Amino acid sequence: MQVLLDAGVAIYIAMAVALVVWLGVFWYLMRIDAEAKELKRLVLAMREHAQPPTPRVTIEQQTTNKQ
Amino acid sequence: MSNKLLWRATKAVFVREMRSELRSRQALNAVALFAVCSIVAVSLGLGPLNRSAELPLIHAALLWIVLLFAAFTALSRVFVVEEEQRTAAALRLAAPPHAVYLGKLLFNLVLLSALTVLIALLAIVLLRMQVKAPSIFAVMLAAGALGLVSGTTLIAAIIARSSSRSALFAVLSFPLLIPMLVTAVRGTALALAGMGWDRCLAPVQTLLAYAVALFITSLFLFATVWED
Amino acid sequence: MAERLAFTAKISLGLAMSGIIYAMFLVVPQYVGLGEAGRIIIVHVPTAWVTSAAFALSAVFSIVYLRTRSALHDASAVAAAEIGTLFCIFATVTGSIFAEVVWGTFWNWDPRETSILVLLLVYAAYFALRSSVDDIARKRRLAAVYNIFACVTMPFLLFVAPRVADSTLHPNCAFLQGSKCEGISLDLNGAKIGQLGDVVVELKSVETTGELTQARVEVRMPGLTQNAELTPSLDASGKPADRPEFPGQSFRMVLIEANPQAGTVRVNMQAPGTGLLSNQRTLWVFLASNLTFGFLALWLYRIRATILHVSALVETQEAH
Repeated sequence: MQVLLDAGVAIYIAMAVALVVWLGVFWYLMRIDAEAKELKRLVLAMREHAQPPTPRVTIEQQTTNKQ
Repeated sequence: MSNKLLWRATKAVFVREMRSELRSRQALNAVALFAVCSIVAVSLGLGPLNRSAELPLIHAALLWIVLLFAAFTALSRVFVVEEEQRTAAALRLAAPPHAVYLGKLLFNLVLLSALTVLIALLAIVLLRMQVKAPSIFAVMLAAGALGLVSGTTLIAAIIARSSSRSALFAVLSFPLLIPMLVTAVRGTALALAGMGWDRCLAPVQTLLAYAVALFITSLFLFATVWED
Repeated sequence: MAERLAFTAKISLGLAMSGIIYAMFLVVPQYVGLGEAGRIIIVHVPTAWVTSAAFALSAVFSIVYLRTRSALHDASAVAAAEIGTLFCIFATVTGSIFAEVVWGTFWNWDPRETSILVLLLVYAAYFALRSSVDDIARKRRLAAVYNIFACVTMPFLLFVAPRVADSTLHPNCAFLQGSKCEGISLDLNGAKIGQLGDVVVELKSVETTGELTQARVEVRMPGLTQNAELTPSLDASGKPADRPEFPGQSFRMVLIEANPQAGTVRVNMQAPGTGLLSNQRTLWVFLASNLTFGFLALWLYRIRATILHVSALVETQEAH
């Protein structure tokens, strides 16, 4: 283990760790990005499908015969 | 014409505030006691301090810390009271938003001025704070009080409409008050140490600029907060 | 087409950032006095400016929101504020680590440190306000008002903070107006006492011996029981030769000008890494890093804004 902390080696280790962390974050971001886009598409589609409530009215006339 | 109307409405709001405060003395009693307690606590905790080059700065910092926390308790009340007593709707109908803001601002200013005078006197007596340039000291406190009031009155209106009121007031206003507070502490320290206007003018100017900028922004934004 | 372009952009961003990480450790040369810790500025500075840009963007969206009252604009303001907070934390942490390694203290109330802390507090207050208002429309309105109000105090922070400390360890003080970046002048026959940060300095003598012009300066600073004496010097061409360290610290005193006949000198404090960017390789990596971090922030903002927009859409749909 001690060899990993040597002055010459440590900097490569540090770089590798940083690189792995970044690649992990990058992969995660790509996934989140795709999911967010998909979600937006779905919601927009749902909005289009959802029938806008068209105003409708029924008029009934009741005529009561008063004799 | 509309200016005259606005002024009359402002005066009405202000007079109303003063009247209800003088009737109950709710805010004044609580805050004055708070100020006395904190100054006494600070003096007891510190004991007599040696005269040194840093003493004016220490005194100025203590003075402004006490003033800041007293202001946190005193100035947050103006709009919260309206919500608690359910008079906000009536006030909304009775006066234009600008008049409400200006009236409340004036009331806060009067309250804070009284508080500042009280705290400064207590500090001089109990903390044995030496003021070498009294007139500059007074101007510095006045400019600082202006900054404090113009920075917090809009925040008071904001928190009145939220759920956790008193805690939120300090959280929201503190970051905005930091620039003003730092300038005020440095300027007051200069005044305590007896520096002349050549050194003290810059802090006063900064404080006044801060007060004016926040006052004008508040005027623009207040109607948005006040609308229901 | 646009889809493919966006995908290419994202992949190149990923590659660019990997390149920056590689270059940061293996291309940028070590700088004398900073050691390996100097490499952190490659990520520290970009995160710091992205923070302020995100804050400004958030305030702009708040203004737009108050005009349009559209939930989407409020969502954009929130997204910008969130990204700003994230980068603000990065900038504070990386800066703090750098300060500990290089200046010898995690936190020394440097004007820049004060302003980034205030920015962090403002963001925190903004989110605290949002979480404590129940009514949705009112929450958006109040948060926008607070955001704009906070933005107005920011210039005061930039103008006021430099007055607090007359010199800063951060480079390019030209940005901080009013700060005495040029150091302080001391005169053997006049004002021979001055202040650099929280250090009091007193000029004892200034004389030329051979090639070197040397000043003897007495230093009094907090936490130091005895007064120390430093002797910074200039070489024959007028460049700083000896730059002694302040006792117990890792920043140095540097002599900028000296006139032995008149008995006047100009001294300043200097962080060990001053002049770092004069190296070409460092400069290019630094510029590329700024660009990459800018795009990264933009991408993060787009993702977050999309999610918030969708939830705003769903919210309004449910409300109807």
